[in-house]
Amino acid sequence: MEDSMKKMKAIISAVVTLAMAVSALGQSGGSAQSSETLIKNATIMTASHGTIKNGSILIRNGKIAAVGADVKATDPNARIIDATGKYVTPGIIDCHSHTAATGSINEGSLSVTAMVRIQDVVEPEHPNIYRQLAGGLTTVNVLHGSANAIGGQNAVLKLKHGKPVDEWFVTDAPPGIKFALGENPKRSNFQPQPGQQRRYPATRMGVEEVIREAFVQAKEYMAEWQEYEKKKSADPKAIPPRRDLKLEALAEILQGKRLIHAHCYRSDEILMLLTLGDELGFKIKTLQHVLEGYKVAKEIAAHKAGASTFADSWSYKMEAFDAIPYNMAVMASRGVVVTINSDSDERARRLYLEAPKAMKYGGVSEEEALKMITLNAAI
Amino acid sequence: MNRIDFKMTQDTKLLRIEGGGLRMNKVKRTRRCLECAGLFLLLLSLLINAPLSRMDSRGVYAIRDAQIVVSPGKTIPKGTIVIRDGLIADVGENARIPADARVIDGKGLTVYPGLIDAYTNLGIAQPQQQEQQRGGGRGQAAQLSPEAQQSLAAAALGDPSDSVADELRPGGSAIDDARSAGVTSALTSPRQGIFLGRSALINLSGEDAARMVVRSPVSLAIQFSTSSGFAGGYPNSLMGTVSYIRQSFYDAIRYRDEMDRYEKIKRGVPRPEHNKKLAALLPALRGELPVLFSANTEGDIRRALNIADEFRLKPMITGAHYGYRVADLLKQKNVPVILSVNFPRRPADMSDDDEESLRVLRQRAEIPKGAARLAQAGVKFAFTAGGASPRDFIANIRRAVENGLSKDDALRALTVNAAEILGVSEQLGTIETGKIANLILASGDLFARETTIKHVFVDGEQFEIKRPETPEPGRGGARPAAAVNPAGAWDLNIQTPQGEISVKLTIRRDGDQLAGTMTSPMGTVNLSRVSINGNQLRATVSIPGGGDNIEGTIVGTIEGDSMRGTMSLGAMGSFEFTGSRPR
Repeated sequence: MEDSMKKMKAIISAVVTLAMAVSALGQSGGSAQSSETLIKNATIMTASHGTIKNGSILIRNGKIAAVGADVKATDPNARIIDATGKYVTPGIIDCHSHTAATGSINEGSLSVTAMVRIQDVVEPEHPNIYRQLAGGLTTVNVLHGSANAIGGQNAVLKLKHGKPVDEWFVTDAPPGIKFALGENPKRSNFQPQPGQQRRYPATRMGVEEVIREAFVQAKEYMAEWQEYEKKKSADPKAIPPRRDLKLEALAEILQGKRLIHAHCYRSDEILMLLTLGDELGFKIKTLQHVLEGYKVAKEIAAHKAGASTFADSWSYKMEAFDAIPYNMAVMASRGVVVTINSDSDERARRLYLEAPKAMKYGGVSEEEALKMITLNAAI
Repeated sequence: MNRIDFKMTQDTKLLRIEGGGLRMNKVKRTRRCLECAGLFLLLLSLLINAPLSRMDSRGVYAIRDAQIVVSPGKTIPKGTIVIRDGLIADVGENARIPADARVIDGKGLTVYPGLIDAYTNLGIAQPQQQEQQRGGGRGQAAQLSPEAQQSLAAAALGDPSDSVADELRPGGSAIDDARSAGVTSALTSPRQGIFLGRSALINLSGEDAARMVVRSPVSLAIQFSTSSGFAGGYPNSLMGTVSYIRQSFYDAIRYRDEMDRYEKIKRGVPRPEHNKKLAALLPALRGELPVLFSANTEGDIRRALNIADEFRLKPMITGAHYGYRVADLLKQKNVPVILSVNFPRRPADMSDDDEESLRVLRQRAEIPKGAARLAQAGVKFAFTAGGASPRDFIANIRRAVENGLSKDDALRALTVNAAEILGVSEQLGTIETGKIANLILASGDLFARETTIKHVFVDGEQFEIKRPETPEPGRGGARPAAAVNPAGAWDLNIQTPQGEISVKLTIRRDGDQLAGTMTSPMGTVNLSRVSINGNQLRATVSIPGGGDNIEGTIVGTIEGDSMRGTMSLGAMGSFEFTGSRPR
């Protein structure tokens, strides 16, 4: 255990080196500098193919061209980084972040806000970005808040500190959307403003009904468009239906083009959502927080949902009390793809310390723990 | 030739009258009568130099022997300008002074084209007071009735079909002050809503609203405001606002399609309902009406340009404090900018010991350099006072000049560029024959600190210059000696476009400090940074609203037991209030 903690610490500096190397590459694009960078003499934790001692990584045009014990640069002018005594891991991925979003991350006026997009408010100005990079974080899944049963659309970003924001978006990442269950969407922890009505729903039952209602509407919307597509060539009077940004996003979920990231805590609500998905024809991609996931790990695995959780953050509200540190290990052992997220600009700086907790509580292997903050999130 | 003929006729007509009914040929022959006419003109010019209030008729004027800045970089060292019927009738070194003109001796003065403030709220009627919207009693947190909430929510969204030109209210001290500072024309836009409505270019002239309008509509104005706080409906986040704007344009596209189909095939097609809000978006979608986005930050500017790209709009940016950071993008997309010179400053109520973040300090140093950077990048820009007092307008542009902007570029932004951006370059922006006679006569170089404005012409009419009553703050003016005591319970009525909102402000002395609370429909909150300077009270307040707190600043002027002033609520805008302290 001692060893692995030491190792994790050593990794930090290496990951930073990698991140800096990549960003240096980007900056030198088009100049006389070489398009190649070679990291050599490193202990490489690949997360997918074990650990390579004294290995090298060749980076060409921003991509990993080769990894192995005998990798050499083809360009004699390649930038060489000697990583003797250092560890290299894949850049850490945070599956649940709100970083770099300006303004409120909740469009809290309605219970269904599938039309709003995090991509419209990405403004990476804050020093937090730099701090997170220093903690080895390179990629974030920036989610809408959890105020609504169906929240807004997320954005996947690479933390390209110093680059124009347009270059931060991972454009080939599948689009997603935030869902939320429990206390937040029913707003039991919030006092309405004086003079304001309480928002529907106010119970867990209501949350379920709001989601069902939204998908019924989305199916009608899809049918309307299908009808138009069918008749548009024959009927000169046909004009496209009204484009509804909210229902369009929900329709994308039903078509499998948009992934659901659902904020949840309790096992009953997790089962509710999985069952509702089966009923209405949608899949949950990730359950977020999912502190009681260990109770329903088999069901989560059967739905092929991922679980993005905290290592040991709990008891901050009623629905977050029945949590155990073995959650990650138990879910992983039942075949759930587990990731560890931050949900916080502060915790995001030390995800490399969160991962080993899965090793301590439940004996997850080193590589499996590393995957929880890298490869698993990419899946 | 026609023009000269016309002038001759005018001259003779007037001379005939002044000459006591003499026939023209007799005038020409009679030397004595010529002397009479000369004496008359002399008297007239004396009259003009005497203190005058606003002239009632559209007169004929000649400004002679003045230095004339025809346009940036083009100056006539000593020339004459003739004004007739609101237009510039002649300009040049040898322009002939008509006999009927009131002559202004321009010796030692410099004539500039009238300045244009390219984004204001001037001439917009005060919001109607809607009483009976509030339940609850005085002194306790009043609850908004459902109707009031609805109307607040609707106002937060705005109405793109609103047109300033239809609601213009002439006169008022705001217009007087702007004009006295040399601003003769202004783009004016409504204050409230995401879709602010259609703005108009107005001349800051007399009492006839219809005659003030130079061009309308000039643009469809949009801002990224959210409806937190007093309202609270959708959208209450920035991303919600972006979605609301996009959905509105998609709805307008659908409306256009329905209308087009109905125009083509009337039989067998359901008749679309008329929708004035969506109809008002169509000229923008066709690219005929530019869309003016209020956007100060780099993020807001990018958001605006993304929306413009998505719907092929013709965007303009106003505010643009951080425009210099996207100058290349603005240049590449050929987007005109209306740059606010209301530069951030250290808050007046901050004590010398209060520290500010490096970020804030850097912003304060960098933003005044923005104009020079835009000019360097080749972005076409005009200026707006940005809500700062008209007195500060030129002073702030002077700061831009001190920070690297050339004087010619500064003048260009205030005149030619503004006229081009706002679509009035045929009639405004330079001193040329045939253009509208909007002129200012300055005691010297417009951007020199000691220069004052001596005469202002709008639409060919001369207007009295109202000097500010108090010296400019922070420029060596004497501070009021004794501070008034602001302690007590103040009942304030805040004017919002949806009616009055009652607020109770309780100020107390706490040792040598001031403290207090504010009770509003949003509940009771503590005031911070309460200070009194002379009779000016300042306080800041943080109002909980929709997850985020709204930071507000209250600035009030106390006279006896009454107070008036402004409450600024960040992106929600500024609201005027009046109130009293019942004893």
